[in-house]
Amino acid sequence: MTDIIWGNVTKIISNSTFELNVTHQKEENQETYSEIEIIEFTETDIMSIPADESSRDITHLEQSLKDKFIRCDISSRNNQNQLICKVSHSGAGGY
Amino acid sequence: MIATSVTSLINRDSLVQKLYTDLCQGKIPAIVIPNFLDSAKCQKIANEVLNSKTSSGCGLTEKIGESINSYVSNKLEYFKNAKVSNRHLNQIFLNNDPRETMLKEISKLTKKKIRFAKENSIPYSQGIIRCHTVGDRVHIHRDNTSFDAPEFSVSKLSDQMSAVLHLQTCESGGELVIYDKFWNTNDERFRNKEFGYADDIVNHAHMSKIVARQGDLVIINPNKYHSVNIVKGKIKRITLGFFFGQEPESNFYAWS
Repeated sequence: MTDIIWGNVTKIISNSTFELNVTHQKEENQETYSEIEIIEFTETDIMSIPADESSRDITHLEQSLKDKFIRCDISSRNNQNQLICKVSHSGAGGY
Repeated sequence: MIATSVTSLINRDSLVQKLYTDLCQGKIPAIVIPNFLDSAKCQKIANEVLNSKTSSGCGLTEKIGESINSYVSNKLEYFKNAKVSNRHLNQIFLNNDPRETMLKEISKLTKKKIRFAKENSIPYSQGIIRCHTVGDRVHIHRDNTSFDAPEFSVSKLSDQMSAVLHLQTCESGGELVIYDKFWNTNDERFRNKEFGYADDIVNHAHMSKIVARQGDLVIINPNKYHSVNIVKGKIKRITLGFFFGQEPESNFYAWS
């Protein structure tokens, strides 16, 4: 079963990586995760983020992701200890 | 939490722009226009709703109409479903459309023209009817389309407000609670996974409780935290609501 964490995007690092302040973890997760994790995203449902990495820039990602509450479905860790994830909107802050 | 009852109960004729400004600035928790639509008309609409096919969404058992919040990742689906639900709403409101009266009232309040929003000539959802049944409640949340749905053009409108007409009230419970606290981006750390925010977010905040009667129109600044208490009894709480906001120095547009 895929591990899932939730949290807020605190910093954009590159076209495909950002820092996440982890606020929630799925109870059934196999691993434990730090309060701060670096996420490398391979897929996202956030419409304003182009699927093609070369079409993104950091400013654009900041507008789309900064402070947002998101869900990360984790597939693995890379050799830089970053979590490789599918990133999506999570729930709703409003009605 | 300290409960107060500082709502502005006003006559329809005494609506002034100052109230709208006060609401925008958070100086008052709500503008309540009592008996905005007479009970008989409300009940007629409520009966239509109860006999209509409804859909589920955002923790609700029944609704007619769409809410952008359910489609932040799927704009095309929102407009597709809005087209269908707008047709359904028009059928329900045939010969008795309270949305027109609500827009006129808002226009009086803001001294500006208002109409339902479109994007590339495609209409947004023109209101949402929500039916809360026994045991339903709405957890603490705020509504901020600018932050939540930047891909939609209405996110560019400023001073988002919420207008809700109470078509049928429940036997007890179902009160609207408004906390004297505006949302800010730092609060996203207190988000719940599924919906709304942790209760702690409104610790120490004053709150106002609004017990709306059938036919009352309640306008709030939805960027302040708010919730709906648990609905009790057999009668459903039925409301018709939409948001509205202003183009810079220009007219107002409504959506849901």
